[in-house]
Amino acid sequence: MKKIISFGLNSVLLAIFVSMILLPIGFMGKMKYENDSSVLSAQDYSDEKSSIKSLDDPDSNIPEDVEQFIMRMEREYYQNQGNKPSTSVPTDVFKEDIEREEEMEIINDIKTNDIENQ
Amino acid sequence: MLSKILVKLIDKAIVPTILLLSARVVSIVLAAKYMGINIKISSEGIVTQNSAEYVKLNSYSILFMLAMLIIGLIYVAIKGLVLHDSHVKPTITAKLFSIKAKSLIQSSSEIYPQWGVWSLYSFMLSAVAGIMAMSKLAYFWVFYLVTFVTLINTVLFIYDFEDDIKIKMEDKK
Repeated sequence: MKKIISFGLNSVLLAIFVSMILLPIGFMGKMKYENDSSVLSAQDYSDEKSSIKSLDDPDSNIPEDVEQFIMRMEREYYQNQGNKPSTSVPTDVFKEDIEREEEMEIINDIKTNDIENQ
Repeated sequence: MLSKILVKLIDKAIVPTILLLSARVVSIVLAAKYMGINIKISSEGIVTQNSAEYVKLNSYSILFMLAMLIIGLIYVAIKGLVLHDSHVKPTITAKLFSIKAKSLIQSSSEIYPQWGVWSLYSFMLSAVAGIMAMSKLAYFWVFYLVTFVTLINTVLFIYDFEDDIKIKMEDKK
């Protein structure tokens, strides 16, 4: 009985010593940084708290034409990535198309074709 | 009933624990203020705004902890190499007696647990600095510096320990 009590007390002492040794080292891990990286893919972000909604989110209310446009851009991007030689310098220049009239026409054509087929 | 060595180790670990813990907190706050880095203190801990600031702050904080560690190691190394009762010089003993500081001369049972605890912190800090450097959370030169200090301390510890054993073996003869 005396041996068991002695063993228990020494175990407690050992635990206290180890925790004292690990305390400053453990506290070194209590430091973080905010990850404010922008979302590159519309599909890979699904945090419920975020204001940025995924395309797959049923509550996102993304208009169909916008969704199709994003999907097409992503598809083109990944196709270009696959064909591109392994260099870190981008060779193609991204052109911003705010009006996106051409894309809208294509989407409308697809829609009308779908309706006609039905 | 209680292990004397464990009680002594806990006793000797109190000061370095408090010193290193406060060094970490104070260094982060001071470095953030000096470098103009915005930090938030929340339930998650200390949060910086981006990874570059994190690496900078973390590295300089480790450096400050290393400075505290070096102070502690120098103190125990002087006690071990110069003021060790097994090989303290008579002139030093006389001087310490004259200034009524004979308590500075200590035995192996007092010095080695203390030196052991500081050495343990030194190893732990170099291990953590290494992991952080490899995970790109701290600069590599900080890790090299901590490792260098750890190696020097280990060599001095072994040197003093061997010296002590040699003296005790000669005394037995």
